Amino acid sequence: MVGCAQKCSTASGVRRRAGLQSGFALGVAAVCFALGTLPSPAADPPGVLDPTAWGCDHAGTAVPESITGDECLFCHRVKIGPGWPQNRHQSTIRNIDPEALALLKTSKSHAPFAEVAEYVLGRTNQWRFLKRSGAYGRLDMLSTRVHPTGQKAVSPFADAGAPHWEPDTFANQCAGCHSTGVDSRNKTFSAISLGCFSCHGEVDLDHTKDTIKVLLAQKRNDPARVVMSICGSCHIRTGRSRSAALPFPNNFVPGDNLFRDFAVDLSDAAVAKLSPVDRHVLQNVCDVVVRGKGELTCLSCHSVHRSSSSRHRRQPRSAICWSCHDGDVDKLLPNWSQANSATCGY
Amino acid sequence: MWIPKWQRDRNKGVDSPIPTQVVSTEEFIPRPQNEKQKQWEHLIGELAGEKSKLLGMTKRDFLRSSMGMATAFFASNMVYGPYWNVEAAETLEGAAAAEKFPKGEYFIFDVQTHFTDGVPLGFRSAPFVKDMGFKLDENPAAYSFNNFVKELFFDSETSMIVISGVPGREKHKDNEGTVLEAKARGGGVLPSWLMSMRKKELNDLAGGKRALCQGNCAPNHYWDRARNQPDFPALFEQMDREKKLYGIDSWKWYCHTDPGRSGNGFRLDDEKMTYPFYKKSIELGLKTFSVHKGFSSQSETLGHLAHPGDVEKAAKDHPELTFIIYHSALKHGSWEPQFKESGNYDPTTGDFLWHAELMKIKERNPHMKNVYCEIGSAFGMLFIAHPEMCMHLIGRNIKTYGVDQVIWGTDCLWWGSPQWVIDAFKRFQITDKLCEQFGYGKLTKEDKAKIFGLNAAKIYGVDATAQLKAFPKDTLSRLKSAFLDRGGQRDNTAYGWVRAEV
Repeated sequence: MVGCAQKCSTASGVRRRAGLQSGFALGVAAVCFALGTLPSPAADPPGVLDPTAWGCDHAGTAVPESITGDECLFCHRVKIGPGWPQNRHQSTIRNIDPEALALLKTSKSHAPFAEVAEYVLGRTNQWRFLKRSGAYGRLDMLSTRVHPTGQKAVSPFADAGAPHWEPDTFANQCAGCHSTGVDSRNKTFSAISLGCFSCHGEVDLDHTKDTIKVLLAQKRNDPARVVMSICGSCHIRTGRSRSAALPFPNNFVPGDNLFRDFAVDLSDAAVAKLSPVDRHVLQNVCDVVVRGKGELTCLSCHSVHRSSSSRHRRQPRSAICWSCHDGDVDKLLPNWSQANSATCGY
Repeated sequence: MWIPKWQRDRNKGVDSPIPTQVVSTEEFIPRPQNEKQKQWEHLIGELAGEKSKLLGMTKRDFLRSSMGMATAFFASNMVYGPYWNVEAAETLEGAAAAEKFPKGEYFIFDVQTHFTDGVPLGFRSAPFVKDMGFKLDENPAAYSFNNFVKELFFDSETSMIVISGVPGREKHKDNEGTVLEAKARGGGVLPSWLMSMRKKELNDLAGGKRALCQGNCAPNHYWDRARNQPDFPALFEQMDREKKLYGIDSWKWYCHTDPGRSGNGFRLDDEKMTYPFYKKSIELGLKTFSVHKGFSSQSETLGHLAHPGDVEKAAKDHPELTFIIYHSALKHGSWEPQFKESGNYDPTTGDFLWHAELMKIKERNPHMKNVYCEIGSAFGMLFIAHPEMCMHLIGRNIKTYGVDQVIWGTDCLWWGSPQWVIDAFKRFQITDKLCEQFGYGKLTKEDKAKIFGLNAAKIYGVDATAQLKAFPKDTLSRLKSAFLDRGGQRDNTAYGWVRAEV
């Protein structure tokens, strides 16, 4: 079942929030000009929208029953299967590998933890080690932020205190975007890493007869705000659930309006102070959900199943380009790949 | 990009009785055809052209005949060496092959067969199938099943089958607490209720026992999240249902999948989670556990649970149970990139990753009699990759487990009609050199008879002798005769996936 996803995304119109309109628009323009990121004032949309004004949400309700990725992959091997094992979404948590184990063992105080660590979270900047908790849908996280060899001139464990397993850190900080089917009421997940449900939501098995029954199917051409809600549910790293006060959405089901429950500062000032990687996401989100532009979404540039961003070269120039490029698409800003988020600590 | 094998063949004008490249069962990633396979495919076409001309047949009809099949093996010998028992006369005289390998000489019991529920494969069978007496409507599931019957029973010598499960879990009740039935129970691509329904339908039609079926229920399918353990009442309720109502003949487990959203897979030797399942199953009188092992590279986080390392303790602790290890636990398909990585296959020892672990279990426990090696996809795939690898697989299985503990399976419908795999095994032999070097034994007809079906018959309590007497008289045999009399032919169609060629 697409559930209420389809209904919600189409049932409500976008209403304008008059109080915000003038001031917010001026702010957007001012900051963008200051940053040199706005291609031309003429491209500015006519008004400012209320991002919360459409659709519905599942905050505080039970996570819907859904089929799991393994079931999906039984049939979807033609296009999805070959690349899926290497896909970043599939490995937001990955099994601990010999390299990570070896690194952990280089520290006398950390070596004992290598015996029980099962998973690693993070790739280039830092690693966090995890093990299954005794409780359903919970992982314990090792207190130490480990810097992979070569990432820092200092010891990988330079900023570590006495290592210990933290029972709540993953559940409170990471679960929403590193696992699937997170129930915010008890902070549990139903599958490690991201599965098909994370983006496609509730899927009717009957879709074999008509793919339009699956959210984000090419045939559907889902509205930009729906796409941005799905991607933004994890890639906006500055939000907080109004209802659950967690740094990830409260039971976001693809098709929902993310912004009904997920409070995000969409002001230009907030966009401006982000790292380039985070900035380009939020800029795009603002374009869609605040300015009502619908021509560019994450999917315009990123092939998710194949983990490719090659399509982004074919897009028309826009302010988003200048998050990473230095006024010329052939030049990258020195810090273009920098990503850091106070929320994630990554 | 992947495309169906049949589509690739149609695009290229290839019509071969044997797939000349490994076809993915969707459990592994297909790799491109190599030079030897290209050569083999070309030779089949060339020889078939010459021979069909000599016989005054169309090339298409020739390739669907036993002579066409013999030609394919003959061509393989020309490319790889004399591995297959085939003589030139068999490529020109149907009677020669028939005399050498009489039809019906083996009781062929395929324990790994699949069809899908509602997943169109892009293939439609000939109109005569509609006259076979099955319920035909526009339901893709029914359609797929009909095709399945044709491929398995009309186009091959298969005598009996086990309809084998795929990952999926049934829902007991709706939100109002009403017990759900049939389709409303869901359960994925090939749920237990559907396997059971089709088994009954097929046996009713045949007027005898032609099909058995498995049940998908597994220890992690119903989960008590508060206690973080199986929801045993719900689990046992489903087990009861599958045994008593559906009449399943074995469980089919995929330890590395989690359709019940338990948050994890499971191990065969987990005393808290899996052993209660065994206990309940024994109470129900169901003692056969068919377990998918190997072929799991797409599952990053749970794939390790397809390793056979958990078989040993489970089997030792439950000598009264039977564990059939599907795919002989081969870790990688022979065409996956990893297959060529160092250590995956060692020609100096004949070891394959994970399969070698399965062998060690028996070596450590020579008296263990309740673990069986099933060869579905493994035999056919390795035979296409290189006959010598195939010899190691079968040689090691028999040398280690004994010929009584190797079980026939094909993984069809994915491979099209299983006849080519059957023919391959009939003609299969291990070379003197490998026998001498690795201590393998030559396969006798008796050995092949055991592997083809007698071993599985023992496990499932099937009287093979009685069945062989009954089959010729049943409706399915009569329908098959009518099909052949009306000019019905085997389709050289493989349903798995291959890489598209640029």
